[in-house]
Amino acid sequence: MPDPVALRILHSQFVNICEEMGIATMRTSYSPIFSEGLDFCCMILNPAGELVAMQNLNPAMTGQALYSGRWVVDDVGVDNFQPGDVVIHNDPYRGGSHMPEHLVITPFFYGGKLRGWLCNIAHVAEIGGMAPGSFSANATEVYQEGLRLPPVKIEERGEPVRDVWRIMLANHRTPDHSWGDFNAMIGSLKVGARRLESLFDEHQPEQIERAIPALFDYSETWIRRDIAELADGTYSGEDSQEDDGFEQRQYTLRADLTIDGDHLLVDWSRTDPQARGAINAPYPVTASATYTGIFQVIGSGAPFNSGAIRPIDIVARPGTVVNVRHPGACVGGQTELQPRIVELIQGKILSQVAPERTSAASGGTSGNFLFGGVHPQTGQYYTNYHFEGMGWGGRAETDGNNAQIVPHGNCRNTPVEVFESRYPWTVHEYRLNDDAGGAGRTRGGLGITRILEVEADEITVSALCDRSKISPWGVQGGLDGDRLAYLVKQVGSDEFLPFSKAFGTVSDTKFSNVILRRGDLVMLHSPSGGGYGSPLERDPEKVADDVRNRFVSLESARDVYGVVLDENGMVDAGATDVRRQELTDAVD
Amino acid sequence: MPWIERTVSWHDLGVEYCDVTGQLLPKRYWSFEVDGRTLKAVEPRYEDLYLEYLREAPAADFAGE
Repeated sequence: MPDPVALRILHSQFVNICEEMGIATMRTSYSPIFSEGLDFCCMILNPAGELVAMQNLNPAMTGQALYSGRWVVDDVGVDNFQPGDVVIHNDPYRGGSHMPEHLVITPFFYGGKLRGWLCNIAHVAEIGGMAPGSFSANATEVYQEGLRLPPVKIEERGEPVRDVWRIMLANHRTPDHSWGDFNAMIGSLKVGARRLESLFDEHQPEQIERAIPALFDYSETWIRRDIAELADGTYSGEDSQEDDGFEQRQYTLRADLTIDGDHLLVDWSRTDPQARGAINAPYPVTASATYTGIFQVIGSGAPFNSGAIRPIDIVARPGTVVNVRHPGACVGGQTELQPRIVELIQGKILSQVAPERTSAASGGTSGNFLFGGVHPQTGQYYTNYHFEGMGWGGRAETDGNNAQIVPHGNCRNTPVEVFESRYPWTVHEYRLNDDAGGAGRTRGGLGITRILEVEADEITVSALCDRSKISPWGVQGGLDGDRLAYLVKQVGSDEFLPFSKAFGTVSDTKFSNVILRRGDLVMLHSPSGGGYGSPLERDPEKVADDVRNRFVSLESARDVYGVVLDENGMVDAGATDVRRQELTDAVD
Repeated sequence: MPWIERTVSWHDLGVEYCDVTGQLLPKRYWSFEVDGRTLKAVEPRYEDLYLEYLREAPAADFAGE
């Protein structure tokens, strides 16, 4: 095997190229979901389509990074690629995740020979379909979710394939933004190709081509060693989506994880059949989430590539919510099912063998809130895909993060200033939710409340989120976090109501194309993380600090954490001991 | 059993799934027989996975569905 230090340096060089591709995407795109949200990922594949390196950005796209490029090359045929060709693809039934996420892929030639592939996967904010923002909770078929593209060339020998572009742009509600965003993606491939060429100049192609299989072996060995340190056995767990937007019934995910020496198998076969609504996931989404859940527990520091997953197998029965069959709707699988899978794997299953490396549940929803209409100031049609921050789960040693986008996404929130300047809303309130994090030795992070006022004659809104009925769970004796509530207060009404009460939607969290009028208010109240460990074990000084920060109320400090504070907000140690004993006795 | 090359017409956009893992089946796939059934898999090592694990897990046996 080549020198491991040299391998790590080469790996970092590959990752840096991916990072630079990402920066190019961020700086040249048109839509906030790219420039602010960073909902994209760039990667390098070897000639066989295996993942060499990816940007450290978006774990939600890991499955696509591992599988989609390989499947696209298989589908198109390697001999049908020429230098300068770019193929685009978003078909969830041919390796995609959900329709808004598009893969662009280009071959990298050096010295006249195919040496690899450069890819960019990004969430395009609007691709047509039955709801503005292309995120319809009421879709029952993929055909309602936007324009579906099998792998087709969008550039041929460096020139745009105009017919394909025109079909795409004619089917998107905001074609100017699509034009800018797709060109940002394609531009990133060109940045990556230039950097990769420099790397091949520096190292010579034969050296790099010898090193990549060695890098795969290096990662595989690392992961096998980590798996072998876990106790053999089969560990099971389940969690549920609370509804699919059509029926008030839960859809349950069930996983059996078997550790056998240095091999790990995750079998999803006992999971419920696919839903009628759009919460289903294709295989790459389930794979992303499963790998993310596993690699939150093992493999820290290992170079991530196709070698890292060799010791892990995933079985996902077609026709279930974790492997949707055509033509089931599936836009929500990537954003709603995926966090449920990640946390089921790490928080409920691997916690049985390595509790110190796992966490309680996060808010576990992307909180998708979509809207569109004609902007009163510009007369132009606009749409936006807004995802909301929430609380993360408490971990063994640290509290959950506050107000962050769902952990599998790593995306950023959109600043209020950007939001208000782009769209006809006024943000009246944007704050952390008091007393909402699940109590525990480490506390669940806090969700947020945002209140928006419509500043146009009408805005069409949709939502696709979860955790309004099933709380983010605590672990190891920690308590559950606060649940999600998306509410509306129409002009003339004096109270915020669920959308089911105000507009008759089947679900409070999954609905499409509700028309709001000028002056209506929307409240986005996101969920908070679960707690880890008993709240009675939390350091009283941390509880006092939480009270000072208004993260925890005085009442909760006393009645949940058993911490009594004096009139100056300082811990009363004697009274705290007594109170904690009282609470312990009450449980016993 | 052999590798099999699947011929797919350009206008056929249907897909097939690996009988063992549920992944998309590539154009070139691994075929093997178990108990008189012919199964299709992404690669040969999944034959072992089927024999060692899935054969004994009825919920996971979706071959041919």
